[in-house]
Amino acid sequence: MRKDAPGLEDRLRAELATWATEAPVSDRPWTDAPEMVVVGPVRPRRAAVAVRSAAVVAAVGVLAVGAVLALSWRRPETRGGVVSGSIRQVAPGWTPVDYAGVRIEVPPGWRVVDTEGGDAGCEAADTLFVGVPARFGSCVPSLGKMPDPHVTLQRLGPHRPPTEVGRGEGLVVGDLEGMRYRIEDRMTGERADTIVFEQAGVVVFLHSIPEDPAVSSILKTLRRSPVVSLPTSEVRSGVTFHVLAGVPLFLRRDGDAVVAFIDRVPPFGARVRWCPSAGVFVSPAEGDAFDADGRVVAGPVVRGLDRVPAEVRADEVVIDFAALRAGPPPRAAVPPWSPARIAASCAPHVAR
Amino acid sequence: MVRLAWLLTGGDGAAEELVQDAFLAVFRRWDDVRDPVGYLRRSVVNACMSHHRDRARRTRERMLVGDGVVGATGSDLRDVIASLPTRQRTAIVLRYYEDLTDAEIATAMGCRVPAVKSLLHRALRSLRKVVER
Repeated sequence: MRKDAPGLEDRLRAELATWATEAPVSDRPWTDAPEMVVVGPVRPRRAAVAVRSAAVVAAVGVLAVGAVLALSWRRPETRGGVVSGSIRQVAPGWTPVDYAGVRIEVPPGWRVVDTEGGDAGCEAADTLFVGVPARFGSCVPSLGKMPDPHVTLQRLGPHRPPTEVGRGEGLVVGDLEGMRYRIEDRMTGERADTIVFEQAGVVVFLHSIPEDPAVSSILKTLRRSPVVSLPTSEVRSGVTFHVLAGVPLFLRRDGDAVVAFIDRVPPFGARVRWCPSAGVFVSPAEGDAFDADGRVVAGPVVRGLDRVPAEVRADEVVIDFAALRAGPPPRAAVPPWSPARIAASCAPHVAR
Repeated sequence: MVRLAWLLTGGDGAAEELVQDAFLAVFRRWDDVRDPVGYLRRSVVNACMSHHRDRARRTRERMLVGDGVVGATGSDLRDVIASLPTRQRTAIVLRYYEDLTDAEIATAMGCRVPAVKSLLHRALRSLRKVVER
């Protein structure tokens, strides 16, 4: 090595560090996602209560299914390197959480917050958020000047000192296809790695792996949870609403063909409603409308409803969330429906 | 990781997409992965080198002239880094940006330590010419 090597090495380090800061950030900051802002108020309180009740019922059902699967557990089916269908013993005191085809376990003392149940609150310490982190907006007032309510999940608790790494960070398991999460450290302003799982159906923030043994130990429990099933008798012909593994969705059954549509305007918008009289799914928030196949027929929405092909086996309908697929983009720009047209199309009743 | 991919690709706008794919690869093999960070880094390195090969092939197919590395106009040194052969650039970035050891670079690149030493030596020789100019 020549004598000038240290100087060159220093220059290399400096040059690379500078160059790295020019790496492009996501094209779509959260502030450009108006549906993120309206997702809370859009849903009427009464509907929220109904959904919550349905979620409780479904959760009981899922637990029962899980118990049955646990009792009838066999050797896991290996597919493409991913082990699916495995159920392993949960460590004492740890709580298993199933969501959207993912099972993750949390240690004693950790909270599990379902963001579908309302505002997630601002306390992120030792918390596993399950669902779409769209409702952290109310944290903004308590955090003062931060311009973007949706960017930061890490060290969200304002009482956390900036030197404390890890434990102030929440984990988030979201269910949405193609979301582009961008995380920034609110304390230092540094941009953390972005984790996006296209087509995986779940989003898990992994940024804390090397820093926090507690978070790391939780993430090591991440598994594909068993596929979800429900009795065929519970899936009527036509379109019906269900909450399975914590995910609200519509099942459309036509004989033995069943498709599950995720109940949300993609990629992370408001809930949709099924209007049987017109045979469309609509979202009053933006005037989006989708036909019975989940294709876009109106609105600014970027793609059709995300869907999971379901399989009818004997007396049960089986849904594997690993097969979650994004809806097709519209072939051409279509104007949104007006509230009056939505009201007319959905008369006399709206099903959920 | 996006920044790493950005450097490995010589400042290519596809860096973010490549990292996304790498994260997806980690997730799909989560049950089998013992070292997620190491696995992720190797996935990113592989994706970037594969991306470079694809880009080079497309460039040849279009009969275009020149390397066409995007974003490599910041300085002379940066231009030379960007114009290094892919494996040499990868080794340089992993050493001087990620601060990895020879063994860790070898793991990330899927080669042996002597090969890493050779890549670094040749890359530094090229870079030194610019510094001394």
